[in-house]
Amino acid sequence: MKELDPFVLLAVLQEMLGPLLWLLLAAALLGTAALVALLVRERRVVARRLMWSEAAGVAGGCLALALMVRVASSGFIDVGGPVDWLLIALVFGAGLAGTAVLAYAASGWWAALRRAGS
Amino acid sequence: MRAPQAVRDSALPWRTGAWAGEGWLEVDPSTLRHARYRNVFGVGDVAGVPKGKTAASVKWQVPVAVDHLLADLAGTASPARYDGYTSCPLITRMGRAMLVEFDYRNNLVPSFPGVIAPLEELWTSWVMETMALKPTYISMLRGRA
Repeated sequence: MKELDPFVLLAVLQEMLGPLLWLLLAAALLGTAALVALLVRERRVVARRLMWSEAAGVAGGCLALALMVRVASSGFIDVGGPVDWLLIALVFGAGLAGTAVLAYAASGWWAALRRAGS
Repeated sequence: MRAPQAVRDSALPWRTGAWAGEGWLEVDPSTLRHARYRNVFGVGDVAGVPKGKTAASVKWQVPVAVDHLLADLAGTASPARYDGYTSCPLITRMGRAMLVEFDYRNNLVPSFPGVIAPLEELWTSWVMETMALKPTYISMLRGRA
């Protein structure tokens, strides 16, 4: 790669994922915004909710890896060098962080809306 | 493999040497400018240069040719040179590949030195080959990459 132009990266990702790219970006943006709004509203981190979100995050990381392996038609038996472990860590980390953020924000807002309704 | 009929029938191909029979354009290997027609450049498969005929080569060649064209229009000279960069993802088995990148002189020119070792069989290189290269080619054809 001559230079990693962000627009080239975006074009390739769009070609790779199609409409799914926009769905994922929207989920990431909305999830982050919902988390920030929730933290501002509650002014604290709820430990129990955080723990469950992190547990869901681990499952999300595993799911991301399973998807990656399926799409790439290969398995972890094919891991060859350090960069392969780095890639696995990145994919797992992205799945973990994304799921944890979404789970924390969703469960927090669910509880808040239920409280407001009752 | 030969150049398209229109090119082979034109005055542009090499007239002697290894590429004369196949009809590839007689261009300078480093500037990609035609040896006899200075306003003609050759990039991609049609260029009669010692390495290339890969999408990676085209990606490296186009900016050089464009820079020379722009310099010609501006009445200046361009220092841009193509060093023969090309890339061959070599699949060594299901799940592993080597991302071998080299230039005219067969020097290894890795894009990610210290991260993706060119002579190592890696799952990462396989993932790039299976997941990223086809979308990259199509993005290039669309003029977006």
